[in-house]
Amino acid sequence: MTQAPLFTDSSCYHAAFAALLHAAEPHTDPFLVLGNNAATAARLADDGLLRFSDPLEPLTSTFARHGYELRQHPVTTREDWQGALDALRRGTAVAIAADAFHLEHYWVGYRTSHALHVVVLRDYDETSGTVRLLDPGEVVFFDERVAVDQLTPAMCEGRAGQAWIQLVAHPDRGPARPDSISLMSLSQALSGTGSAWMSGTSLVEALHSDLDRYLEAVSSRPRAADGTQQDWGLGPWLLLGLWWYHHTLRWLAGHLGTLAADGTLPGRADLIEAVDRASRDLLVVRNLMMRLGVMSADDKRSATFRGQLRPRLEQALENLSTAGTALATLAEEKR
Amino acid sequence: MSTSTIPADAVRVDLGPHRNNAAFLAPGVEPADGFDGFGRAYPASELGGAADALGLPGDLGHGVADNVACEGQVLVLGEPVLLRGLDVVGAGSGGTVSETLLLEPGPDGGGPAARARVELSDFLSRRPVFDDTCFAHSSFLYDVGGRPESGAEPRLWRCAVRFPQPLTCGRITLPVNPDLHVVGVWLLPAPAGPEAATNR
Repeated sequence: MTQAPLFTDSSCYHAAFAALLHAAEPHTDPFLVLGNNAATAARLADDGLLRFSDPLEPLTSTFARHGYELRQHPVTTREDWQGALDALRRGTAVAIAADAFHLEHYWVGYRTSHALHVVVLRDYDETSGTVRLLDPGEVVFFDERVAVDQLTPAMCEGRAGQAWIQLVAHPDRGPARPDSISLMSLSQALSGTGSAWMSGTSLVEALHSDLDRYLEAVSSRPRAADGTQQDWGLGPWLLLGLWWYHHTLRWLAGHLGTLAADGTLPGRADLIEAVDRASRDLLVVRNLMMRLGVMSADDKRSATFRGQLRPRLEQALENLSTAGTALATLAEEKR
Repeated sequence: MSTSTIPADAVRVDLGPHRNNAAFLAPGVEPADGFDGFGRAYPASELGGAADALGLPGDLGHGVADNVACEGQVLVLGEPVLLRGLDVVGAGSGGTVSETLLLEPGPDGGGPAARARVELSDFLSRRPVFDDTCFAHSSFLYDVGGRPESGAEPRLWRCAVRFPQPLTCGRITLPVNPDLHVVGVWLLPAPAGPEAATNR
């Protein structure tokens, strides 16, 4: 059945939290809040290789900058899950990070993957024991009532890192507008040297310098539903981390576009273009690495695809650097 | 199924020699790579008249290559054409795609090249992400293993590229991005006249 969603996005985190924000404050543009983020969520581990954190971490910081608390409640028991149902009974919409393996509507991962998938729950009906499940994902859009019992395995079975999340607006918060500090923070996250996570340029340089090791990690990763997201090694996390980072940049481009459109920032088409192109190139790199990971060594396309990785990374590096410099300039102008 | 209109004077480029991927599937046929390399496919039976408009092979969905997964192929035109634009029908896989085609004036390359940005939504996107429009739409997907999946509705998207000034094109080089699936390309001739083209 064709449905006509008002809002969808290909990042389940961004889509669900945007829906949660919309439920709380329908007039707030989600790009203004969720897009105000350029964190890679990546660090170099002791072995010198990349490790990625869950995108909830940087998104929680992003929401905090705008006066919201993204309050996370880990779920490992049915009692933990009961907390989400209590919130729903009180009329609070919540997001859940659920084990995709048990989400019947999520055909992409149902019975095949234990990756976390984030959706929104609201409108609990005690009589029927159902809740409205909104999945604003671009390829799986779903907005129907489901039995709460149907969600229990997705939240309580295994240790996939399940959680329920509520959005709490601080009562005295005002509209967050970009100032010199916030613009410089974005600049540093794109092309600086020190923050909670490595910058975008550092991430790309790390990929570029150890490309063969990362390709090996991707090609030797386990397939299908082996283990939960918590158990995954470098290969799957790298693909997931790059997927998230490309979304972060895509939303940052949307954020800058929104600020330019409402006159808050000077229109800088080159800045927005640089962020968007970096996002695009990193997605291509990520997807090519995934393809290379399953191709046989004698496939004649391997050399073509491998040959594309470094130029794409170099282009991303240049664009991230350009965008970081442009944001630093804007920060100076705001000072 | 629905299609958006290609301009009446558009000339379809023969992609036959370059097709390298089977993204459509007929009922009961063993899945090939599909759009995403995992076998997810657009039901050939849902394409209707769009298959003819795209010049797709008669045995569509039976494992024959039906689209160009971009690996840097060069589309050499019969003779250089003065163009006012291009229409590209296809889709992205593994996300949306925004790529650049290289247009050169001569069939052997060389000369000033022009670039055309082609942006297509993912084959599973429910709405256009760019300025592209829906060209064809299926009510279900063949998921991995050829399993019909009613929760997904694959689409082909049409990207209309218009040039600010006419330009001469003798060949088109596709990017290296196998997640850009080109199913149809149309050339939009510019009226011949004194405003002769210079590629820029």
